[in-house]
Amino acid sequence: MVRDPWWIYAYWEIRPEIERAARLQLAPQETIGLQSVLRVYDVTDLSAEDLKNAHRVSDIPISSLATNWYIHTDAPAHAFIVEIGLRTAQGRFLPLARSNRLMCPRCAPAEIIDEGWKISDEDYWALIGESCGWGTGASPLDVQRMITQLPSSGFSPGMFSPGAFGSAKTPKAQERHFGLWVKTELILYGGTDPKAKVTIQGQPVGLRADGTFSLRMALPDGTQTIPVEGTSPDGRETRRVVTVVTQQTTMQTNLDGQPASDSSSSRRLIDANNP
Amino acid sequence: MPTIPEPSRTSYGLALILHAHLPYVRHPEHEDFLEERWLFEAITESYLPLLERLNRLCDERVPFRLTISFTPTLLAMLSDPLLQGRYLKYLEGLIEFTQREIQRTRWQPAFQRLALFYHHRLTQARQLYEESYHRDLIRPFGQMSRRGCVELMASCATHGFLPLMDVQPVAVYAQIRVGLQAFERAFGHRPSGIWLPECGYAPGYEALLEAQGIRYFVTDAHAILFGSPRPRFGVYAPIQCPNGVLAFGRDLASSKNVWSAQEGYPGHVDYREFYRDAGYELEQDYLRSCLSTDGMRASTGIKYYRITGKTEDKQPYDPDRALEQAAVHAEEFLTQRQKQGISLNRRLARMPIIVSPFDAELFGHWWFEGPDWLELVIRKAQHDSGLSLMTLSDCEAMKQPLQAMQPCMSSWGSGGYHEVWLNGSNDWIYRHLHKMVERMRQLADVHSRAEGWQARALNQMARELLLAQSSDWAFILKAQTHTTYAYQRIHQHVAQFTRLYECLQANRVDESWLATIEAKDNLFPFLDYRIYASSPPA
Repeated sequence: MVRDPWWIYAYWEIRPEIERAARLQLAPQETIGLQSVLRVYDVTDLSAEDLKNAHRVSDIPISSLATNWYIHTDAPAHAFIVEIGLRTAQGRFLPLARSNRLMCPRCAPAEIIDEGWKISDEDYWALIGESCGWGTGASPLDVQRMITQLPSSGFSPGMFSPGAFGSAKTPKAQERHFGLWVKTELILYGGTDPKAKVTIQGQPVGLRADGTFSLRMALPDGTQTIPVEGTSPDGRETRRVVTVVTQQTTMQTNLDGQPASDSSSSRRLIDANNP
Repeated sequence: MPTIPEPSRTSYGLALILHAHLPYVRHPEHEDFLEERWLFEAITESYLPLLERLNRLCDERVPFRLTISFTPTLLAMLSDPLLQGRYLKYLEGLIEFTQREIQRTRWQPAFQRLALFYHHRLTQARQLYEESYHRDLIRPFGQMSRRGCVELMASCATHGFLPLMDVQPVAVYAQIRVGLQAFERAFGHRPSGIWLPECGYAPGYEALLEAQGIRYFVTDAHAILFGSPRPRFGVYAPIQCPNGVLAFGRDLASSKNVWSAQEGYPGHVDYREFYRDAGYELEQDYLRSCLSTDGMRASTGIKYYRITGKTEDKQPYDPDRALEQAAVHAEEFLTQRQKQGISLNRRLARMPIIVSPFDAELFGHWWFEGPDWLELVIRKAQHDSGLSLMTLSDCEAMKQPLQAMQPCMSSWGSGGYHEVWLNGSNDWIYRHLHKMVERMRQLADVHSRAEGWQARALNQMARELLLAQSSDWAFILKAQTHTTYAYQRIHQHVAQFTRLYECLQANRVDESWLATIEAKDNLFPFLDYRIYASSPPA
């Protein structure tokens, strides 16, 4: 399989009997120093059967336990066939399996220019610059830059998943990766006649069938005065309960047993504004 | 139908493309399944907002043309009654949660305002989904296409990444074929173009596309720029493959405005911060309905902060301020296109076409203000008399002379080729996928006229194969975000495929088991396994 203009990927699974059969062809002295290799044939413009005429043949010694390999062919616009086999110390090669033919893509402007659609070098590089949003023209040196800076599709269904959030989800102190954050919420609850009307800080609150109610609120620093007012079902009697809550949050950091000045990032974590 | 722009009067064309895709995630075997929320979040945050805005533009007769592609997996989920019902239940849970949030934030006006904002949005989403669209989001997109605002484009069956399966051309053929069949069933007509998953292209696909009546596809820029002979117009005119099928190259400049992690619009400090979600910040017991079934924290979509800057100390989100910024960015986007368009027009001595494709889910889910930005771009575009918003068919219909050339193998993934889907984290997948195709093909040839349970088993094998081929699993393994699920999915489809294969070899099947997996992986009811045969049915 082609990975990109410079790399191809091969995987294989060799049946033991195939390897045994190959080994049987070896003279006893040939089994010493026997090496598993990937033999890479450059077969650009050649047919798959034409390995003998390959432009270039190179061997990659591999572990006999390997089941796949990334091969650095480093030759865009070339075609390859790979064989896996055994090579003796004397240089004899016993192929075990052969790959399909692979064509690596060209990663440079084509040499061919169409007579009917002539374009000068200058115009071509100006167009590349324009396509890449560089404002000016490009040069052959920029080709690599263009490929590496492709604004790639940065989105994936994985981004819907909680894993995508990682540690960025919860606030943390930055410098030493040790964070501590504390927030408080207040639960106010009570009960009355199920048909009564109740307000908390002037806003009506719903009652459950048994006349109870509860309210949960994020509690910022400071003093909150919370009047709860109930009116009897007949409207004749009201009762008012006032709760006053004061919260003050402080934070101190000790580093190696010594009081340390609060880093601004950690101090801000205790922020009355945070829900 | 809108008129085709006249090159003499228009100085440049802009073809915006949205590609909508999610992998098939449907788990009837569980009451509640976390990954199904991928779909639910995309409906709430992307599909509904996009539909609502585009419909509004249509109703107001704002002239625009936009291309949208859908993958068959997404179409199948959008029309699945089980998932439709579950979506509403999920929405109910969130609406109830925002009610509690309105109470909880009463002493924090900046946050209470947001709680109200979300409550309103979600209530509106429910109303749109249930009452306006009757749970069917496919039909309104089809209607928009009939009104001439939107052109719909097909995609491959399960978003399989074609270049890594093309050692077996039948696998590529089947992905395309099933993709087109699913499109036709969903929208009632044949598509003229196809979105190749991840823009994955290799020379030769055009022959498969032509044979199935497809007239154009989209590639990344370097497919065209390095194509041979050299492209006279760069990516600013479609080219003709040797067989006449058209290829459109992506304009990187406009992509960069939106996609780029550093300079892209979505990173602006006033926009909503994606990485801070109430589901990860509030007290665990309180979150109850928003937790996953195993009690783990999960994202709720209720996000209170704006990006603020490179700091953990985030400020509360301000929707009005964000909307103002979206307007500024829409203006900026168009100004840059105008500059680009006029300069290209002069250089090329003809009307350039700027092709800007994006993942639909980017708009709304990742970039919360994206749907607003898109609407504003469309609204503002009508004031530029030199600009014409176009679909890819419009570009084809202009009948300008086109250069013939051979595009290069490429994709729009990081690095421009296949590395995202072929690296140490996911390369082990392919030996299994290739073996499955080999076995599928072998059985399709042996059983040329299967009936009864054998036909069912063969069709189910084809489903399991297609599902295993989704590029998403390889992507997730690479991105290291949710690897357990991706691994399980691959494993499950390979295992079910293999068991079916063995059943057919042994000529014996447990029919209740077969019925179970048919009910579970139930997409593509029309699927005919013989597409994998050496001579597939016409």
